[in-house]
Amino acid sequence: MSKVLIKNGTLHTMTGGSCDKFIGDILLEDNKIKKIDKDIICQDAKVIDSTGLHVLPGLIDSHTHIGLFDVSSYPNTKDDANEITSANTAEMDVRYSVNTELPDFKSAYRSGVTSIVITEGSANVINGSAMAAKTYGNNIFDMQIKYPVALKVAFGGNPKRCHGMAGRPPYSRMAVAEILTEALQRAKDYMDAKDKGLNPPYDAKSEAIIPVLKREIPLKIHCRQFDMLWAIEIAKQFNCRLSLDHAWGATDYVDEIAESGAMVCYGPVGICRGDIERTKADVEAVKILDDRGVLVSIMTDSPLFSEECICHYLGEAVREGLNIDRAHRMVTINAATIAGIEDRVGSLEVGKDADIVIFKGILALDADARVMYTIIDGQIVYEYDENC
Amino acid sequence: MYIIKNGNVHIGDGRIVTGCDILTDDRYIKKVGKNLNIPGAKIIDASGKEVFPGFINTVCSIAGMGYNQDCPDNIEATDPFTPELNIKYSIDPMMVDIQEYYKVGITSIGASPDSQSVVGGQMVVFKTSPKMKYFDRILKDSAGLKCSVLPMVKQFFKSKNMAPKSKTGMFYLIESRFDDLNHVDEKDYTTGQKVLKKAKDGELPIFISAASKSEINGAVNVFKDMNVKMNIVDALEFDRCLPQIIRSGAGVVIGDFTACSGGIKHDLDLTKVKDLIDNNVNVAITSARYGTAWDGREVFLWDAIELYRAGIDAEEIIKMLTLNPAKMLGVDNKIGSIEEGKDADITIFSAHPIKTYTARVNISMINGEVVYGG
Repeated sequence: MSKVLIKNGTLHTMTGGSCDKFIGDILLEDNKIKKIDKDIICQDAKVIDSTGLHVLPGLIDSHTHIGLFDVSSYPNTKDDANEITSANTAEMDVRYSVNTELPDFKSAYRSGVTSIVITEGSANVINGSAMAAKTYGNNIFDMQIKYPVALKVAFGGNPKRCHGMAGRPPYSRMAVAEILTEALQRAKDYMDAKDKGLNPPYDAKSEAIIPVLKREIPLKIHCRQFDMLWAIEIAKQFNCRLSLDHAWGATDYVDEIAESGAMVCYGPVGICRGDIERTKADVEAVKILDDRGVLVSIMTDSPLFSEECICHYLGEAVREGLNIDRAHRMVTINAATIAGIEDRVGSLEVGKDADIVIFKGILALDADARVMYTIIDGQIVYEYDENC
Repeated sequence: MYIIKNGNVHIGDGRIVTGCDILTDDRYIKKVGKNLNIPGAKIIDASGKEVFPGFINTVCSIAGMGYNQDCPDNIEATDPFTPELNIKYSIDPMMVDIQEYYKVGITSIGASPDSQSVVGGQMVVFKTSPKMKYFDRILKDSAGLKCSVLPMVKQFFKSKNMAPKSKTGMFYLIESRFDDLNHVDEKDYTTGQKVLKKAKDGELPIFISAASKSEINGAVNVFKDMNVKMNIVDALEFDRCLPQIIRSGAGVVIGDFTACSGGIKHDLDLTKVKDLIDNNVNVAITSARYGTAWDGREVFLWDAIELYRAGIDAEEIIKMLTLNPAKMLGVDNKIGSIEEGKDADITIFSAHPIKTYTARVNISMINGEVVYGG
């Protein structure tokens, strides 16, 4: 039985309310948080003196392609994220593409990120089912927290470019919407037929969509600017849960998003303006939406952008006026809730997974805030070494 | 006419003067000192704030990218070697304006062709103020010659079944075209050859994108017998060829190292920037990500922050954002520091932007005109 005792740190619990932040101890036993209190005594635990340090739940990135893209020989990036053979590949299971040997997993846990959503790319309109996984391990099926966590859908430029330019639909946004609604309707008819005992012929695509129609998982829609309006409309039409991913330009549609109940995975931050698909880059959206009660996370889209930048992304939101504690929630409990894994991770609470990150300095405030320890499932997987 | 009063003024050369005033007219910095009082001048209170010379994004190809990325204007894709071309004809000022560079304190960019050509063309120094007249925004025409030996060059031309298709091919192109200058009578030089001659004689600085150790070593070697003023851009493996760089006298423009995780960063050891500084290598920063134009203005500050996280002195980093790139681009007589007679390109931050994320630009001034805040 392995025990770790984190002593005397400032605990950022993410539980909300009056005991959200205090100086105390955490006892980790095996892979769970066993006890959170002041002055815990445990003789046989490895002690991490966290005096003056900040203890957060392990960070969570709600939208990545880690393990799917090999960028090590950039610009010859190897792509296992996109099965570009049909505009609808709903039946794809992302887990089989994940290469746990890629260095991006290490970048993630060295940056304090302990859980990630790994999702297919955005080449197709419907791309497949996404998973949530820990960032440390050598078998993705063991690292899995939950599968599926969402059905990945893409609006806009990517399916247009990957299919339309090759001479098959969708060439336009009209066809993107049509392909999605047609697939959802077909899955609904299929589900209804099954429910009535009619035994319809097996349809793998519709099977993958059924959890969406049953509201067990959300549609995870790559969208920006006015695309998000039609993501909201189609999700409403089929009574689906929805997360708006990327969401650049969300400041133009704050009312629509807030009223729809959609969740938002915003990012990456710091992109250039001007590309037709990215006319707006408005990180201030996360504050405005958070103020309106929208469940918001900040994501990196790694490895296309960097997990090491998660501090910069949060920092830019803080620069735009976001409260630092709220910023921390966007990469912990909010991200966990969006992925539907908040029963396991995302806050410092007894019974949750022992995923902890200990910072020197305050994340998203101090530019030189540094990860001192990353702990996943009770195991110290990274420790800062000054000489290294 | 403004007096910026009582700020912590970062001169740009590494010095900080506390409680310092700056007097500007409608273009220039007129006076820097304590307790300045000029009747009629508007007072900007900078008490408790950090005042910097406008930052310079050393190499930046966004200006010429164009809205239609299927046919961008910052690369002449029909030819890998085009010294005769000048990026100014491709600059869409709106493209620069919508980046709102002044919101992170960037007041000038080294507008440049993309890094997909061996020689892409000439750079110009361009101001980021949307309030200025277009021709005034070009602070210096033909300020540099953009070259590149990155893998994307050979990959790009290979896909078009053109030379160069290999590293050898890229370097041969440089070697042979410069060598041609020796075998042609100067009065018969083509426009491109006239430009190359200037570069060869050190009148036109070279900015060559080279990321890996072998690319950097190749770049140093291919120009070693010429009198060039060279700056190595991107330089993601500079830490593995420090002696070669130091010997060559080249400047280093460190490219964005925040964009991609894993292999693309070549496991760069940023603490080695200190070795460059200690050996008087001129170091600057570009937000350009490995030869592409995907970066937003924020990335420029993040790169500076990453250096700070690596233990580099904050004021040394400020030099890399101001006076160092001004020297590289040959405009240090006009911008790059807060000194009398230089352009009034000044940014007032609420806190030190390299030390805390809460730092916001309160006021950005370009050519004596407040373009943001105030």
